[in-house]
Amino acid sequence: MDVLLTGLAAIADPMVLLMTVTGLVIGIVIGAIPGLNVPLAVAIALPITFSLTPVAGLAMLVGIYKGGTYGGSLSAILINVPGTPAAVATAADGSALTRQGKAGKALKMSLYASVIGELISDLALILFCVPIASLALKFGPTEMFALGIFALTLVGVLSEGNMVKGLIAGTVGLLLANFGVDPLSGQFRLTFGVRELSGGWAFIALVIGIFAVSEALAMAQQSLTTAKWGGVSLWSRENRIERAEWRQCAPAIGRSSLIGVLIGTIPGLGSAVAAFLSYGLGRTLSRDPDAFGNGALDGLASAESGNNAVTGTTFVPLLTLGVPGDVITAIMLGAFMVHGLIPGPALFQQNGDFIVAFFALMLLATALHFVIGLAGMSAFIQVTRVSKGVLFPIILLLAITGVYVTTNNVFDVYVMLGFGVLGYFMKVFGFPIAPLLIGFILSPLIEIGFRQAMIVSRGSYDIFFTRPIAAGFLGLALIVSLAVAWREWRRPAAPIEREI
Amino acid sequence: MPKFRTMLRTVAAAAMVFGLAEAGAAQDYPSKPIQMIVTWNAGGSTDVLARLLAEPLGKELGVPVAVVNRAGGGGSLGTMAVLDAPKDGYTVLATSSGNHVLTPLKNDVGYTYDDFIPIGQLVAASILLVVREDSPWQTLDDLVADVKANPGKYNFGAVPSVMPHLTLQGLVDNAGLDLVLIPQQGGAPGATALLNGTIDLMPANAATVASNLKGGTMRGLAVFSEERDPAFPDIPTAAEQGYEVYGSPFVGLAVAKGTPDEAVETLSAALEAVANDPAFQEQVLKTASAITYLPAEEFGKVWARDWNNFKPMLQK
Repeated sequence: MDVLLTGLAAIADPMVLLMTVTGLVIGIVIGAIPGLNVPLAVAIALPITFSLTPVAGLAMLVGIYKGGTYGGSLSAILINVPGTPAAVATAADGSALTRQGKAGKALKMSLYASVIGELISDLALILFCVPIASLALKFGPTEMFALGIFALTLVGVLSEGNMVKGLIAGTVGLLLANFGVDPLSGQFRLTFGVRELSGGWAFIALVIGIFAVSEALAMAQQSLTTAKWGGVSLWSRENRIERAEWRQCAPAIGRSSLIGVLIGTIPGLGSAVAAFLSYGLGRTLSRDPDAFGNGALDGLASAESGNNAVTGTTFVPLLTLGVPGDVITAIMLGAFMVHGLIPGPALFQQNGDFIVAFFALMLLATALHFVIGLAGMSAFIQVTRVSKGVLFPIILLLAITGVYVTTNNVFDVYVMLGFGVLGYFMKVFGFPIAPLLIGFILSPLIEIGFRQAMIVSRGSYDIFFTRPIAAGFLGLALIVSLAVAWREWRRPAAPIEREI
Repeated sequence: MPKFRTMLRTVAAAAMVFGLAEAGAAQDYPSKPIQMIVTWNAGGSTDVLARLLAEPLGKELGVPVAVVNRAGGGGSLGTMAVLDAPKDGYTVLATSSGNHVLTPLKNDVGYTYDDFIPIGQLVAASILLVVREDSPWQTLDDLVADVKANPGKYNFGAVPSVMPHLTLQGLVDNAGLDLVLIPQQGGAPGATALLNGTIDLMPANAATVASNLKGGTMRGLAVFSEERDPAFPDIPTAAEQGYEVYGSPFVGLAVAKGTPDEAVETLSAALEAVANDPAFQEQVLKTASAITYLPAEEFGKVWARDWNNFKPMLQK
């Protein structure tokens, strides 16, 4: 009881409140601006937190983390440019809703789904932290490979009706990820002697180029007068979320939150993988799968609850094992250490009051996220009042600055422009973009998992069938592939060209 | 009135000429913000150290020091960026074993350690040999005996060709072991692999596994330094246990060759002052490791020593 009281007293500090709010605002803004990335914001904030109390310092970092994971959806919805990799799956439906004049509805659902996902994830962390910690250690290289292959079948799911072009885009994504340093030997590969390519294609340049720059190029073709969007009122009739829509989205949110909770627990996967898995599963289970990519509210809800549901349970491996699950929690580990808080089993015994404070902080941050998100929405929706002719030059400028600030490399700005041209032609010829990014994100997971597993098994393929979790995912992958192939086979001719 | 204007113009011109002359004079270094290039991503151990250093170093120099991350290519992109920048002392390299010695030995990146002037070493990190807390091995001898009895059975994890890997390779050669490397993507993924049983042992930077060691999920069998690490006084050195194997990655500051002497001296003096400040030492101790400051000349000797030490391993 004492532990509970001292822990909660630490949260009642106004400084904690201030830092959470500051962190959330910074996170949402950084997340929403294409090009600026959240890990960099956390790294810059880290030294500042050293002079604060542990809880106040972590409040700021947690705020940036939660806000940043959500912030990417704002630009994805409003301008079809995902601010973070995790928001890529949100872009298709979000931007379609905006084009239909329902930006307010999309923004609201994104916030609600994100906050619900976060809340479920926080509760999973608080209630089941120790029991689900063992899950974090169930995923070795073999399981990572199998999960990667399963997730890759999403390329097929999302390409239904446009299968050949979708698979080509997915393959290009897989190939693009192979440039740079060989992840196992450390040798340069596919760099063609170009020094700048030794880092591979910068993900940030790829995403911003293929979404933002291509959009700006497409804009240049349209006459500026027809490109005006007109403002959208957040609280107008057509932007209200109806009861029927809630009924449609609620199962998607619940299911995706669960996926996010599980993905968050496993180190090394991250919110983008959770978003894609949730979105793909949402489409498979949807009664109207062809609506996905054309403004499906449940598609948006799936992606957004999926990626934000990672933010709570990602602390499970950190707190129980001292293993950070991604770059952001790796930086936060530094904040724990500097205050003498050593993650691991002992933390729960010796620093019970801190654990209580940290759990309370997670809930506080989620609640404040909702409040700040509501306020921010009214501000961000004003973007729809700006005519596209003005908006896209500004986005282009932001993108160039953002990519340069993040990588400090002019080469990556050119790479971004190059991918912009690629994205433009993909749009013109009807190639979907999401499969390319899925391939790019999953490629290292699959390659590293496969090669590590083959070393562990000393060259025997049996390992993929004798380990139950791996075999299970590979079986699921087979089933999904066959189901997609069957549906595609039976699909009537004259496919509908969709932009994903 | 016109007379006044002429006068203003003259004054302005004079001020400009004077100002330019001032900026050109080396004794006024530094007169503008300094860039400190980190060749790794934000949040890594070198980056955290550089960010901790930036503020007090800036105070000491009287101008702001800004940390800039130029990651990629095993640290070679950021290192080359320092060589490409004007050699005026306003671009400083936060350099580490990886980008300074190992990457140029491994790949043709267009520079060697000798293209730089040392400013000073800040940290020489400890490399620890760690196992899971439930591992049967209590000492290095236990491990060596078991591995010798079961050649090719046990896996170790490390990022290929970086300091922890090369150090363990030294032990493998020294003791005649047969271990299988499962290449890892970084310290944290390596720690996960150790805890989930993919690998049986791991050489790691002390900072990477500090939370696991103090939290009780891992046990350290040896440290590959000449002295025990003050943060882990219970972990004996490899040499104490009869294995003369050493490995210790450095982090320090350097500038490109051709930088004026005045700038090098000013930077060296400022770094020495910061490194000897107890408040700074305490802060670094909490996050990374103990400050092991070496003045410029000594730091340069470390470069040459490591270069010659690892050359035969990496340039096959």
